[in-house]
Amino acid sequence: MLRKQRADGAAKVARSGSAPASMTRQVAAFVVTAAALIALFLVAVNTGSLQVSPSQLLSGLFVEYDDAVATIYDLRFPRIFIALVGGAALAVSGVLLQAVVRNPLADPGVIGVNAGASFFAVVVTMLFPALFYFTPLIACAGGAIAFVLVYSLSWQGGLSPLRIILVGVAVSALFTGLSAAVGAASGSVSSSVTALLDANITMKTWSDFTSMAVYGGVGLVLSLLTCARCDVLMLEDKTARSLGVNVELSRVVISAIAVLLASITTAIVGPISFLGLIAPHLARLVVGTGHKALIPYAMLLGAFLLLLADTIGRTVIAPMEMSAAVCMSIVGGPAFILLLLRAGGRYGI
Amino acid sequence: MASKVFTVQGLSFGFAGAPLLFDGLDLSLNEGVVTTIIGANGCGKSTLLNLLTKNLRPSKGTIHLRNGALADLRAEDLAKLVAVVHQGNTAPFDMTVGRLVSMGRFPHRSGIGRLGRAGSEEDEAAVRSALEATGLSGFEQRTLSSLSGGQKQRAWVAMALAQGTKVLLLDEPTTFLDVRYQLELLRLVRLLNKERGLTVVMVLHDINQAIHYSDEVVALAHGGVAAQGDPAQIVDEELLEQVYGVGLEVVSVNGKPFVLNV
Repeated sequence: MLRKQRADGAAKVARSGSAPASMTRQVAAFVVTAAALIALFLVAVNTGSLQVSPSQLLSGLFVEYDDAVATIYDLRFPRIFIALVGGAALAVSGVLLQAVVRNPLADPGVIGVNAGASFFAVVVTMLFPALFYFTPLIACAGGAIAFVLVYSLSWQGGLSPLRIILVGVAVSALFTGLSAAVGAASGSVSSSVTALLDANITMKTWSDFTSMAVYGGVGLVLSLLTCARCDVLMLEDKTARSLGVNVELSRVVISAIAVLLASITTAIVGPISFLGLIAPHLARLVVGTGHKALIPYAMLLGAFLLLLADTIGRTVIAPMEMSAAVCMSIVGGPAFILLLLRAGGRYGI
Repeated sequence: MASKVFTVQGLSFGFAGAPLLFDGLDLSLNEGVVTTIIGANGCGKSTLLNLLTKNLRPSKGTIHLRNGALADLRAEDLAKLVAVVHQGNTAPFDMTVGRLVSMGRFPHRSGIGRLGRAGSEEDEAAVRSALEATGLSGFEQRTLSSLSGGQKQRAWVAMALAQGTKVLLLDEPTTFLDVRYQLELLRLVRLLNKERGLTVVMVLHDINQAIHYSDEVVALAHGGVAAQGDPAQIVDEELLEQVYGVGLEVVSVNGKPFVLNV
């Protein structure tokens, strides 16, 4: 009864990763997305009242001083780079959270991590301006508190996908309300508070980018180290355990990375929902569910999507600006509903 | 006397809010043979497997794996010694046989290997041999969802085999399979025991299959072992009455007891 099928190169095939999204397709996806990202970057650089040609841009950056290029360098570049890193961070945060709670609807915005981080960031900005430098870390603490709240409140001998979303929405609403209250108490004195609440990437400086890049970079590198573990966590807990994985510890570590990524982005940019939902889902459609390809691709796609949202926000109602968060919500809300409807059969929602 | 793979002493365990499932259970399982645990629903067959694999922790008593205490073993090291196929496995929609089986090598990949890099030659050989043993060579690129029930179950067994352990535990491996696939799987189990010397401990519901495919049967009843030994010797009407609480006629077919379970 054991059919001895000799297939040559069986071993080669066995390790080739996340087919049926074949290797070729994955490589193509990376190349195309990277090219699109570069094109979008050039468009973003040239969107606005000041416009320069690519050659002028290059010479202005590297050869001789150019007034227009210098202005773009100081005003637009930090914003663009922050959008890139922030987008990557939010997308990966979504991938990790979805692996940890084994729930395709998990998103740092939807389950309250962003709101928690944002509230803490607002409180620091408002009440303890001396601690300004620690804002990213304090925001992480806020995100972690929100996540632990949601996780423990929705735990009933297991994590029901629906419960975690419901509790998440409630916790998110609570922290958003608190932030609004603190914001209102500050009047409109503190423009940095309003900027945080609106999640507007305007008026960002290179120092903002530095924080974003340092903390975000650490989180992104760490996320790459969790690939194999995330794959195993997608199986049943007892099966993951039978492969020698300390399931509880892995969950804590991976959640912590996810919270770091979402919180740091929230601290710098403000709370952005749905990117952590949409980017991983699109990424899975393109490169499959294997985290070895999924995490890096989600970075690329997240960076693309947030920069796209920000650039669109800058253009559609020019000279006014719409924040990237608003863009994301307009697209993300319906996408979330769609996923919810589709998940209905599979997750008993 | 054969050496023991698992030795359970004075084991007590109960789920929160329920009476104790085991109270002072003593049991030892022989190395190198196929042992089947039988018993009524809720008598603790799966719970016992979960205790043997540290999915659950005993409230009292000790479990030894060969000569070492199970409690002292790290999950990672246990996974190199004992592989389990649980019930009700699920995987992402696009999981392929090749990817699944190579995940069986997870406990052997340390450090940089965990990054998801292609495994060593040893990993490759283990994956290939697991696929061959389960008749799944050539299926590497197929997704699990495209397989028949029998093939799917074999893929999970292949993942466990790829762990390269000498001990394999199977929790109701034939559930949801039609009779052809049930036999296919049980014959595979026998073959693995014979050719690779695997020690197999499994839970089965079908008493006749348990009798036919096992060297030893452990009958659990009322929180303890009702009988243990060669199925031809121990399975009789009295035992079945004690274990399942129904009167079943036992006849002899080819020198082995055969339970008329209809």
